[in-house]
Amino acid sequence: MADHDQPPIPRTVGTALVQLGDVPLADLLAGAGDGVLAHVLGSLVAEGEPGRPGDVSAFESSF
Amino acid sequence: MPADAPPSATRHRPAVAAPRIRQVVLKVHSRCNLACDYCYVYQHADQDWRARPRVMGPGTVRRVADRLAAHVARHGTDRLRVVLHGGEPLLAGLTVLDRTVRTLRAAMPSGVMVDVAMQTNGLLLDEAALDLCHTHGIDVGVSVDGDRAANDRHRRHADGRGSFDEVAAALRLLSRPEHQARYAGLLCTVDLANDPIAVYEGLREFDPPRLDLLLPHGNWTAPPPGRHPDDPATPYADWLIAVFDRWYAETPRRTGIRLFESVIALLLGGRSGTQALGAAEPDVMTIETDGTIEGTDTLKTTTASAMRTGFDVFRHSIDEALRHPSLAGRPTGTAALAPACRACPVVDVCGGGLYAHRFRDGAGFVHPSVYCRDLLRLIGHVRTVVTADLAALRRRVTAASVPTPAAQP
Ligand code: SF4
Repeated sequence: MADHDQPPIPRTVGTALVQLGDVPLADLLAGAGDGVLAHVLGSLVAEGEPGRPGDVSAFESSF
Repeated sequence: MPADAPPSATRHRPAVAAPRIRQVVLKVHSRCNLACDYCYVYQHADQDWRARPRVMGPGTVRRVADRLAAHVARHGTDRLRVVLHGGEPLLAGLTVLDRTVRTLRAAMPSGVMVDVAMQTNGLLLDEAALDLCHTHGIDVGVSVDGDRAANDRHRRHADGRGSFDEVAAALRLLSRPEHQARYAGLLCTVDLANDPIAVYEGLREFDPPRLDLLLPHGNWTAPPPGRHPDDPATPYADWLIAVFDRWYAETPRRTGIRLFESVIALLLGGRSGTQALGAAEPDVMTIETDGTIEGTDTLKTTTASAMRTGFDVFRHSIDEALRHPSLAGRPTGTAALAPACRACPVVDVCGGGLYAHRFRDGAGFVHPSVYCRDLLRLIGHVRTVVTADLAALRRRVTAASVPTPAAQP
């Protein structure tokens, strides 16, 4: 994947079509259980962590 | 163990503001031991594989390694992902794969981590191959299309025999506890003729940590099977929604599905994990067995010339190749989108779909995806489900945090 040497994109750059609302993400995550939504909320929290690559998958370029 | 030094070792500061790559698909073997009838490598427009060497030779690997090392040093990159690919990469033999990974890692500047993965059809995935994967930390993705009926519809040997028994044996091996650490996931191509729930449950039998559901390649000039561009029907969305609903309802989560998790993440303002959504940056650099540098493999489904950069690792640097329109030289973000996409209410999630799916012969890539109607419906469905689930979660969290009134005397 090509990556341009520009400042890191803040997570808010994508317009969220579904708003999390005024409950903090960490609180939502804590109450979310262990389903799919909980997993994705966890990945949103992790996106802000340093060292985490934001790569798309190269696997899917193949069959 | 990987020979890489830890990422905390020497770092290089970027010297230039220019595109760089983080993922390379390395074609270590150009032939395959299956003859899947939908394979873009052998069945689509670009037939250059016929003229290429079967195996990437040691001299080519060294040149690739030197070019990549120069590129990461120039850009201060501290991590690079290489996917061993083909054809079928395991046809190259374990000695060649071992030498390839060692050569790549040995060439890197100090502190640069090379993550290695392999995408295989699984037919040659045995204990010896997995030993090598453990030695080098190679993550293994396997292509399989579901249960026996679904898989053997397309994934067959040249003599017509199905491949399900062989891939199932490989997946039973890979999913054993001692090999789980190397199990990256499964890659399944959607076929409308297959029952979506049978496919999902067939794949789940193999305990994959993640599934990739791929839409068949196609474009406005060569539409995918069952997707008539002017037909308002949404057969692919219908198929995917059946899987989504089954998968989303499972608690605890049994596996990840990259396409769906990317839709949810993008709906919530996060990032995509797939090139198929979210206006991903130009994708993946591909290096063929003869050292030819090409753009993302999916462009092979458009026209033969769209992929050809004219560059190779012997005469050109990675940075030179990146300027080509099939790589970072192509328009990105909203500039790459058709007016209809720019005005679309779900563009922040869809991003116009996979670049190759936007192609129309003679008119290029400035079109919505040939899957536009399916994407619109799928995203709308996921949005409805997630909105309701999130509202319920908010109510639960808020109710739990409201202090209980003190007992009245
Ligand atoms: S749903 Fe269609 S119009 Fe909207 S962004 Fe996707 S491809 Fe473009």
